[in-house]
Amino acid sequence: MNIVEVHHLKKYYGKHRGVEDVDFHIKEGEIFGFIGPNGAGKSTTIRCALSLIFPTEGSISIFGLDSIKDKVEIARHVGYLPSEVAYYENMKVKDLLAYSMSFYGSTDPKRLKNLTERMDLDINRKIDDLSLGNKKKVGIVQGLLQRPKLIILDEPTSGLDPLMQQRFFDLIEEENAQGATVLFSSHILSEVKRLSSRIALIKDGRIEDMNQIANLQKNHYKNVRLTADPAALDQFEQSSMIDVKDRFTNELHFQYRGEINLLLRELAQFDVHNLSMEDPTLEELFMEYYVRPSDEHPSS
Amino acid sequence: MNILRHESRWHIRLLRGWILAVFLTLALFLSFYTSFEAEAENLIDMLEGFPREVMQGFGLDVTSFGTFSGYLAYIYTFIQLLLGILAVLCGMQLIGREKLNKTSDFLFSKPISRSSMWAQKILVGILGMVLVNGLIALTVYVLARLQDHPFDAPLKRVLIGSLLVQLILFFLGALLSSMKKRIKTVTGPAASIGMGFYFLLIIGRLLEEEKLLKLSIYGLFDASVVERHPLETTNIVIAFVLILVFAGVGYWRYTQEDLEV
Repeated sequence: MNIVEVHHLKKYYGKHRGVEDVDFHIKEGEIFGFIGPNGAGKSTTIRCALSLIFPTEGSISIFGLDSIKDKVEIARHVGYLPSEVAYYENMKVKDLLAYSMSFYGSTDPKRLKNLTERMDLDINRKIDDLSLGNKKKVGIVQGLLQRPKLIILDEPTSGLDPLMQQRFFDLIEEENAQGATVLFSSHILSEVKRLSSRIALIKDGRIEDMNQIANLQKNHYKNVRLTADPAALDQFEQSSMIDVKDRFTNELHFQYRGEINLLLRELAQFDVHNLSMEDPTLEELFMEYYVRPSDEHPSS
Repeated sequence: MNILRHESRWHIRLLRGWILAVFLTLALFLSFYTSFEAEAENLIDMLEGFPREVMQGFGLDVTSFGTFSGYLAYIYTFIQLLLGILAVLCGMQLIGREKLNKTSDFLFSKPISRSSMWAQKILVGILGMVLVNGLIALTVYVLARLQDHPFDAPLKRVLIGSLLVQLILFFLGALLSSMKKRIKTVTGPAASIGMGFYFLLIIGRLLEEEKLLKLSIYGLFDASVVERHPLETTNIVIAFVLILVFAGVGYWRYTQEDLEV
């Protein structure tokens, strides 16, 4: 069952593009990574899903309900952590959390205690006195307190120290293990790789690719290191099959796209001393997608 | 009704200072009335020597100035300015609080419709106005009775007229907050709007320009006028039309707008 379905979402702010054509779905129980550089349209998509802004075209359904018409019913089961957290400065943390929970029903004191202890959050402090990291912790607790079925995280770890990031990831994994679906937007690829089973890459308001992380890496180019005599390397370098990255006297680093057997047949003509072949890292894929213009993209 | 409770706490904090200021001004001036009444004839004689424009500008009418209601109407000309600024401020702050604190993402992602949010915030504002004006009415009643004056129709007209002016300005403030994408402060704009309309009232009085008086909003129920004459039906209709238009457009905008981060 799909928990989130985004259908040809388009959002313009006057003449400015928010997203152009975003189309994806998130299955029940998965942690879905939403990757893209700043301004790609991640937050716009999330804000449309939460009815904070309204789509120019297209639609979003969550739990099979319309994101605009059924906003209230959807919001009962959604926990949201925005990228920039801001709360009522004069309130104490405990009052803010109580206010937040008043929209969902009664607060579970055990859950409140558990979450605040794990996030090392002092609920008696005033919001005004908190650092950005501590405000983020408030955001995490208020987003998870009501045991949401869908957790939407927009750049969740900014401001958190490594220890808290670790605890936060553990929390999200536990919630996911208990059945929560997670939409996780970030441009920090290591986070996405750690948490997400499937990702969508968004660029210039369009989904560029969507796949399991492993498949995404496998289905692209290979990073190849070839060691051979300089003359053989010179001859091989003329091949149009490869994209040379580095050349040393006896070693050639290149990217290869295409059928592996063709490459091996080509290499069989030379006296190869050593050969290694690796899938690209997520970071390399990210750069591949976002640095090159769309029309030069390997998958397009 | 959680927004109602939450907003009420903030709202009471805002109102406390204003209620105190209005109450003290009113109590102070009305408590002088007995001594003023004794000297009223001399004062009216002196005022009659003033240029007509000055008298009009200050909303002074010598025919009723010596009465309790006339005296209250004169004081109310200034209190109305305070209440007008407060009304705009309340409307702007209640509807614009999320933009002001950047808490839109927090509140608007909760399971509550925008219509309900708007209605609860507006209700807090109206209840606040009822509270402020109720306390004022009580103060006037007690001081009038203490000085052996009836709490009569002219006094009631001044208070009701003032409440209607505040309602218009409250919904105008609420509308302005809905229209603005970002709000950095509300006190300055509220004071400017409240005082701007008040200057229009003074200019309207000086020029004896009916349209300008109506445009000033305060002029629809000018205390110095309604103390002596019944509330004009046309002005009541204008007041309700303005309230409905400001409320309707403000509501539409609040429920339809894209929220900025």
